[in-house]
Amino acid sequence: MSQVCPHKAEINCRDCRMNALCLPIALQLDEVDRLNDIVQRGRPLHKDDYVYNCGDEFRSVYAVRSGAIKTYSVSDQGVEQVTGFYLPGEIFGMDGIAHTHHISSAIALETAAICEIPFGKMEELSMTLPSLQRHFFKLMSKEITSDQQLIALLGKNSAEERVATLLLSISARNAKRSLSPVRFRLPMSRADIGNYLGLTVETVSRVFSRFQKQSILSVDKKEIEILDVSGLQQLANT
Amino acid sequence: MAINIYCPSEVIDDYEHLLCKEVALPQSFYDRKQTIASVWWLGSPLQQLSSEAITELCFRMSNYFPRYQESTTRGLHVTPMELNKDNLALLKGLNFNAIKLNIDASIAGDDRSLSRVEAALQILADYKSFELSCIIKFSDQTHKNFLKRLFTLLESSHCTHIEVICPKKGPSSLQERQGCHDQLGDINSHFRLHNWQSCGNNNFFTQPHRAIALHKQGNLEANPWGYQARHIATWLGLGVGALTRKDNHYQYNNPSPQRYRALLSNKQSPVETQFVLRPDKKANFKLIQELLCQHRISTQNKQLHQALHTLIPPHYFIEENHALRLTMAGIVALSSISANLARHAFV
Repeated sequence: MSQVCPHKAEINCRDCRMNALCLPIALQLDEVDRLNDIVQRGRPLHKDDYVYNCGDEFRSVYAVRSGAIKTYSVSDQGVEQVTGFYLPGEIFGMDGIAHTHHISSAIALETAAICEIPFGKMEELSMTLPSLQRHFFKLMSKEITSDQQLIALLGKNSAEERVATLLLSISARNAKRSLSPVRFRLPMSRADIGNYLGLTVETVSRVFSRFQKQSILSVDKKEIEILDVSGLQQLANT
Repeated sequence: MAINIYCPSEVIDDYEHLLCKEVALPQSFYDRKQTIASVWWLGSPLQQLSSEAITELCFRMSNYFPRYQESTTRGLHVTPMELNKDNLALLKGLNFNAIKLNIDASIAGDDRSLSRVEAALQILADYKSFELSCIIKFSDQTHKNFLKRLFTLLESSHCTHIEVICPKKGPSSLQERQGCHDQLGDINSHFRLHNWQSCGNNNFFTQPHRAIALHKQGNLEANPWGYQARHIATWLGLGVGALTRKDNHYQYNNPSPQRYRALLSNKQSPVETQFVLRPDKKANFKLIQELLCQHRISTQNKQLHQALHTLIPPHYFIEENHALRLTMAGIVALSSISANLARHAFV
């Protein structure tokens, strides 16, 4: 596996440690290079830097190379609603796919590097690589499905179930990219978690404390260790 | 403008790209920059199109028709068998906000299981933001108790619109026709008893369905796609056998998948037939619209009043304030009344 720093803009799709997650598996190496040519990699984003704003024209989808991204929308009453958290290897920005513009905003939760995949250029490339576009739509439909399933699951459960489900989701996503599924750092604040889960910050903190007392978790600020995976699964009702 | 995407159940290779080719054809029949009131995926979209094809088509459609709004209805037809957590989540993520559940009860005994419908409603219960409606096919072979159980189940869900249809496949016997007529009578009585608003003799609405508000405002129109807002002039149909309407002009796409593909491959329009509503039939059309949407006809005009008396049997209406209002028997017999009115030459 490549040891290239994931923040580096010079990184190539071929070398990227996330390529197993976000690249079309059917592509040949020279085709990967042609895809690499259209992927745009800017400088790393700093915390609170925007990737796109609500209302911006939908031109690209984005893959997280490192760090974490939060998406949120703002209601007519000005209330912010967190709509997703995206970790390395995950794709975001699909909210604009059925519109001509983004219906949410995306912001870096910490220093992050992202790959921008412009749709227009990808369409041009798809003229010679027809499998590419089909694969991307497949990938996107999978991402959209899992995003919405998580939101639906979180919306109907108790506070304990919601927090447990989110932690298990992050654990599973870490495992997918060969990181520890039981020990990780939460990139988002308790307030963001509460907003995403429809809970107050106090409730989120109380649930974390309760899980600690039950020896299910060990919590040190943002550092999380899952001590009892099956206990957490039981709490999540999964 | 409203858009209807026709999706036959017989799988057509690369159908999503054929639809894109059809939209991309140069045309002057409609303006792509019009505001879109609704987009419905009719027939069997989940059989015809894969998840990625639906995702791609949503993307392409939003590019071709840039005037989507927050209020645009984005709906899809689905059977209880096809619906699952995965495809519903995808539809939610692609901003669909309406689902029409097609339930085939045309052969249903008293004890037929409702587990498939129950399972579908349970999945839909997690996505209450979807406006839910149902189309139920029935026949004289549908047991009354089955229909009753089905209605009870739907009434306990967030379904706000139920349409019942008795499809005719070839010639039917008098007994079969009477059987369907009796069923329709029972169905209408059921929904009247449960305070659902009826339109025609086979569409039933409950709050908060938008058709109720349109009905109150007198802005409802019966058209080939159901009871809709009257102000929508252009109904664009895409796909095999699709029907398009602009004001009084109608056109049908070729119903053969092979021919549809061949025409589009040659960059030719897939339209096969077109016709215009005859000017002398406009009065008939208006009267039938009034009856279907309001169950009454205003009869200020004496000649019209007389003509209606000869065309509609007396037990089908009661007179009230310069209008004829349909009785329950009249509502159930609306199809034959409409057929009579369509044939008559009104001045």
